[in-house]
Amino acid sequence: MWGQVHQALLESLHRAVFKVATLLPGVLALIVALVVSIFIGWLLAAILRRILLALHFDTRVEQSGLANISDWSSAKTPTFLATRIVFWLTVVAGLFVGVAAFDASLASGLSANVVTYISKIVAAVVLLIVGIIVARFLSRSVLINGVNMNLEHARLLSLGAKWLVLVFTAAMIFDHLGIARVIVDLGFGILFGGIVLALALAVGLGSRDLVSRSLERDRHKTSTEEDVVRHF
Amino acid sequence: MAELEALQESKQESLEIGPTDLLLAIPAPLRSELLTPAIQKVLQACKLLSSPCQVVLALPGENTQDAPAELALNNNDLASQPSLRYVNYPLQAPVPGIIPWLPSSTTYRELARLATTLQVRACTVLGADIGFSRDSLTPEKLTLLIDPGIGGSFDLVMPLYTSQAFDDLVNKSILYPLTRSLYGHRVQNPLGTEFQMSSKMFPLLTGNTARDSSQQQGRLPWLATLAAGRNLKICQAQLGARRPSSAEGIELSDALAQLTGPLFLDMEDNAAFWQRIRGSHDAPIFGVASTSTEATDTVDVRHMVEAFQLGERNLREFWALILPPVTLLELKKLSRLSPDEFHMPDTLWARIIYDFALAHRLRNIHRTHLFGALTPLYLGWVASYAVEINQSGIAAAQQRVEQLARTYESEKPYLLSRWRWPDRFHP
Repeated sequence: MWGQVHQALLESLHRAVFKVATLLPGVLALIVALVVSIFIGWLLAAILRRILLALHFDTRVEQSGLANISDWSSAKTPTFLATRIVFWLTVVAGLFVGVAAFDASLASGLSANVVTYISKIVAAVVLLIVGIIVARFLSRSVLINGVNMNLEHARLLSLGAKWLVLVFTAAMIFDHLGIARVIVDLGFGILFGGIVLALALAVGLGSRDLVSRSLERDRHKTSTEEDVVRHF
Repeated sequence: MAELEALQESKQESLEIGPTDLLLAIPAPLRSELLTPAIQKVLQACKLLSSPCQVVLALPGENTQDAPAELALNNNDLASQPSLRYVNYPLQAPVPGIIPWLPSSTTYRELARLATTLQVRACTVLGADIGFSRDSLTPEKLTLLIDPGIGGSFDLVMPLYTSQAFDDLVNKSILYPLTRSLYGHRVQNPLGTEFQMSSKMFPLLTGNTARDSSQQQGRLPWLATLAAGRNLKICQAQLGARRPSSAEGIELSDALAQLTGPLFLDMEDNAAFWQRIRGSHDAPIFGVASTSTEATDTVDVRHMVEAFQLGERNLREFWALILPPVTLLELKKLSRLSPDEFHMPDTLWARIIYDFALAHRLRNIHRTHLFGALTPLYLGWVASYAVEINQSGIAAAQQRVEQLARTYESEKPYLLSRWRWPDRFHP
């Protein structure tokens, strides 16, 4: 009997060792893939960093009004952020290659889903950039035109316009990524409607006297200065 | 009623018109009751020219062979031009939001093309108000506009008007002193819409050269700077008083963009030329200006000072993208002055305009926002100007403008330094 138990234990141990031995090449392939991807990621990041520094990428981003992106992340400069993104994307790609060494069917299914989602993330990033640019442009336009119309609270209107566009952009991004769609739709509707209502009340009721004084001042200016001062 | 002979423009055949010296154009459709007195005035001027010349009228409209029935000229009118001819040219419809009296570049290009086809010696463009509101524009004064070019001495004759102290302030504060400083010609109305150009100017407007064709597309040409850049001869003709143009519906920032934007674009195109120019010289003046000793009107500057102060509070971050720290500090000090003490030094104003011209070139901010940000600064200058010359005479106002123009010239090294090395730190 003890012989049979001994035999069974030896067989199970043999199967376990065999299983581990089967997995070892996969693990080794994963480690190699990771190391290679880390090296390639580091190389790509270094090349990208040189290119972006030569193109004065940080200055251009700052001038275009996208500097806020770097404020949100832990990166210090847009160049650093871009190089880190490239590095980690390469490492993740290497990880997927390594996972494929374990089980091809598992890896292919996982890869397909991830690739689809990555394309959505790229589109979301583009939406974010466009939204920030539009928000900054609109806020500047509202501010400058408000100042030229002698509105005292031009800055408030400008801020409202900027955040309206940013909230709208955020809602579009979450909807596109499929993150908590119902909550986002509801929340966006409430928030957007609330901002618009607040602005309308501020201008219509709260700033009624101020707006009427501004318009009165403008009308009075027009009637007295127009007869004398001719700019062109 | 004399019959007019229509000219048919043909690209395949040369026009059977005989020798023609002058093309006279009125770049706006006139009603019949205004067209006749306008043409009568022109014909009387033609009689007074130093040498007789054959004239062709260019009137806006469809290309037809029918004479305008409303044109009622008698034999006395046609004494100097018994075979007066006319030709139509397409006139672009006015665009809402654009200054109505500013002709489009397309109009000028069409006239120059027409003048080239007709092989005239000179082309005179008259304002649309010639017929009715310009009693001061006599045939004698029209002759001053037409004669210098026909005689062959000058390539461009620009108008010179008798203006009040508070007329045409954009021209007095920016256009005239800037073009004088850049191109060295003291042409007081560089954007004049009444002028005469010789045949040497026609290729510059039709875009016969590859360089000019791309630049002139859609942009109002600055004739004075075009002529100065090619070392052509420029003079001015005293045309008396002119009724101020209607500004209704035009925002000040839009007007600044339409008037100053093309000049800033010209600066970029002609940078190699104006950087070599030092000082300025007079453009000869034909005719005598009428003098007035009456005091100027009094302007209440409070609203303009408040507009400037509002701009300083809210637009500082935009100005910081354009102006150096010292200028921003000066503006901050200026915003604390009361309306009675408000004074913007000429040096400060000249440097502001130069910095905005540079920002226009570098595209630090969107160009529409650039002129919007300039508007409160311009109102500050107007307020300062009004404080200085309130209740002074027109002569004092003219001296003030001359002083500003000289300051622009003296500050030109600042512009050169910033233009050539925009990344260099300027306190």
